[in-house]
Amino acid sequence: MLFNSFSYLVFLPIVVLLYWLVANKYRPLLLLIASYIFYSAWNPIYLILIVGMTLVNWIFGLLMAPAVRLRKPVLVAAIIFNLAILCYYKYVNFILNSIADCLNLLQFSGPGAASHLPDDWRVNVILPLGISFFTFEFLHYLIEVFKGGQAVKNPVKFAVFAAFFPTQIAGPIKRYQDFIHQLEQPSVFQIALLEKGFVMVLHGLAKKVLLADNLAIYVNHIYGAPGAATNLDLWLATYAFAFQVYCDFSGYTDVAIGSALMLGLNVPPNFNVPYMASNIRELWHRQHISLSNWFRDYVYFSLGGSRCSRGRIYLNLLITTALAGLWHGAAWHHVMWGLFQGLSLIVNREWMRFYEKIRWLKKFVQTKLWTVVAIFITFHAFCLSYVFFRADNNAIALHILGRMLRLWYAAPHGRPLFLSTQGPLVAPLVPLIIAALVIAQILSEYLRRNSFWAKTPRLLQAIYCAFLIFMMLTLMPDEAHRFIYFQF
Amino acid sequence: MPNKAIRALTCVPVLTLLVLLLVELWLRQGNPMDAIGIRNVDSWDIVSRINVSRKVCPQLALIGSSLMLVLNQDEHGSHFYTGDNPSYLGSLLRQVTGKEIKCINLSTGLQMVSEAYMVTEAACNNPCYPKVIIYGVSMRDFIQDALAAEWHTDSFNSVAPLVPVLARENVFSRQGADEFLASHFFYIYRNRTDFKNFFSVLAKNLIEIMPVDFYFPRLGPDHKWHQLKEGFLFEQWIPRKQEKFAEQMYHAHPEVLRDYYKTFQTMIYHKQYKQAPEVSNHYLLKLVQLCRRKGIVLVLVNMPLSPDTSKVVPATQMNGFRQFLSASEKAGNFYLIDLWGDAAFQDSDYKDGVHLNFSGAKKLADKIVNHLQVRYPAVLDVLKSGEQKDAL
Repeated sequence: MLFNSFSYLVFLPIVVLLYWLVANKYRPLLLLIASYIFYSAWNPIYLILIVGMTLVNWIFGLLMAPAVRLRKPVLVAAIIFNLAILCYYKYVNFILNSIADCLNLLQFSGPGAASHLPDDWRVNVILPLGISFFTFEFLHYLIEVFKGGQAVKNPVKFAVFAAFFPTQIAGPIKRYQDFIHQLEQPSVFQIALLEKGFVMVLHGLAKKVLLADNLAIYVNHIYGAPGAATNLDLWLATYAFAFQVYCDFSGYTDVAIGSALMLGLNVPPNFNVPYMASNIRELWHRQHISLSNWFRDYVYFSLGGSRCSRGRIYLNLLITTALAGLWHGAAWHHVMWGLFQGLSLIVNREWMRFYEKIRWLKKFVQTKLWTVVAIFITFHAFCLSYVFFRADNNAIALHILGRMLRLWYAAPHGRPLFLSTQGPLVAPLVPLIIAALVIAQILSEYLRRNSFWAKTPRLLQAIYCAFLIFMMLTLMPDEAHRFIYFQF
Repeated sequence: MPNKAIRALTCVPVLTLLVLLLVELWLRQGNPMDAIGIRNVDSWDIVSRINVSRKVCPQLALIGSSLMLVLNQDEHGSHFYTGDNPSYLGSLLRQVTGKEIKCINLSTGLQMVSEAYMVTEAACNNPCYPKVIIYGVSMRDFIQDALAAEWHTDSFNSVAPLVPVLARENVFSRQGADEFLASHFFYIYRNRTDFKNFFSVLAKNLIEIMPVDFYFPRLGPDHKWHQLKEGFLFEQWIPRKQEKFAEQMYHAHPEVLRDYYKTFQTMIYHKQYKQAPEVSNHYLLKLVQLCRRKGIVLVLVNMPLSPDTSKVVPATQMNGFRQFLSASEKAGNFYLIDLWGDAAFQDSDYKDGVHLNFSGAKKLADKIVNHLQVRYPAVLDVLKSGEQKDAL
């Protein structure tokens, strides 16, 4: 079930209504049933997978009670179990393809052999919805229980933690301690939360339908045939992609958080105006926050974190970010994207070490002027990394990057495609949309600090919400587009 | 009222619904986009014609594409694409039956069989409804794949609010059924493309201020689409403008109109089609079943094109289509008047090779009434009596 579908617009109010009508003790069960209905709407067969994994991980958690001698082996077994399932569904063909490429490179498969999987090597597997997210939640739970956290004895509440429908498919990745604690407290209906959740859901849908889907039209037009585009188009499409991903994913998160709020439940925030970050480290504290925190806590810290030599720290960063890239997609260009983040973090650390030694420079980086420059550099560095994320493979990504970096050659073939009426209608409007989004990013921090929305009269809020609904109906594409992070 | 109840009734979700309800009510009052010349869900004004039909209770209704709309026109070319009254046909029927036969034209441009069915459902969703329906068909109505999906047609969504909700069961596709329901209940949904067209016009005008390569295509004074600064954008091309334009072109440059429609027909008949026939046959069957259930006499007219334009229609395909119609007639589904290739219709009877001019439309009316008199007098009896007929 897509969030931006008619089914969800019927499903959510029904669940919210039933949730507040049933007695407190039955609410977790209701949420579980609703979550399983939500999951099975995509493919009922895969319900067996999430139910099975939930049961096994619940048992693993109980087995790691402090008194049990075999906690560590149980943890290891549990991690292998979860990662094996994730690797099978998500990475098996990537692994086999990579082996085939290596064999081809070493010419074991004979000269002239094509570097693709023979048909009998390829595994026909459909990636189960949300597997990357709920697997990471299971791993988080198991590791925290191993560290001394309390195992969840109630199977229903544990199952709700994993399957909770607002966050089931694309996060945010929840922390079990916070979430289970909320399930255990009696929830009281608060109309203010319902209103806040309602507005967030609409905001999220509007970001997706009005912004992300329309920017995607131009991005697909350019990245679909980069050879025909000018360098200026490549830059504009890359900016557009950065905002498409942001609007798509933060839109999804808004719907998830808003839906949870309507049920009186809080889930962690996932975005905090990331493109206003003044360095890459801050950006990853503002972008996909729950995933960054997960990789920090369970990969980076496990490798030693920052408590090692400089060289080792940098290696830890590269490994962590490469794995984060791989999480985003089973392809080498995603790994490259991750490594780009790692390199950016290393550059940032080196820069910090450098300016710490020079007094006037240290003073200068604390000025507002430097903040603006830093935001500009950080955003552009991140956009350049997105070329790897969006392009079909590394070769195309490098080609596009090479053209983009030749700034003096903005329009070698004449007129940019975005200044043409022969392409998609949205293309000439993309610069205006991006400019508006940049202004929105700048304003949103200010508005949030001043509690702008909370102070707006309810009637005005309602008119705004009605306007959003009307605009979404008017400008939505004919077929619903999936959220980018839908099948992770 | 307790504070909690007031707070609940004035919460943001409830107020949002109220605002949307006000917008819904406003949209149900009329057709705001049509008033400002923007292409809209009811550009063919079929809703008001069905409402007229419900008030007037005509004995005869015409359905079909713009090929049937021509029966409305007068000698000046007015109501070539608009209006609801086929006055000459009405006068002929008065002559042959000796009674005043009220007729209404419920045809719409590019009408597919799915629309014909929905229009009939809407017209019959009333205590009184037509006793006879004359349906002008062409092979295009059955094969144009671009319009195979019901919700892509010009009139499917516009008549949805007037069609009984149970007709949803007869919609061919699941998506079509969902679209029907959404348009049936919510004008906000039904009319959404109107506002999309409005914003599209605004966007195009804004974009043309920028240093773009070309203007957007507009219909120029020569009735051709060029990249022009002045003229009609597609989103502004509505039937009443088309009608005026067609009349001007007919007198000034008739060859331009003929070439345009010949090219259009060539494109349709020489394109591969996959979905449309299955969908169309489904709706033809539903239309037949509806007429049987309501005791309505259904007469199908296989419409003629001009001899020159007919050449672009593949003969084998057309023969197959005519055999299909003939077999359906023998099965008792409807009366058939096959005017394809009728020598009476010459090139000079057409405005543009596809749509009959005033004298051609009169010939068409003569032919229809003549066929009814000679071959199907029972149909005229039904019109005269004003009673429903049980079966053919």
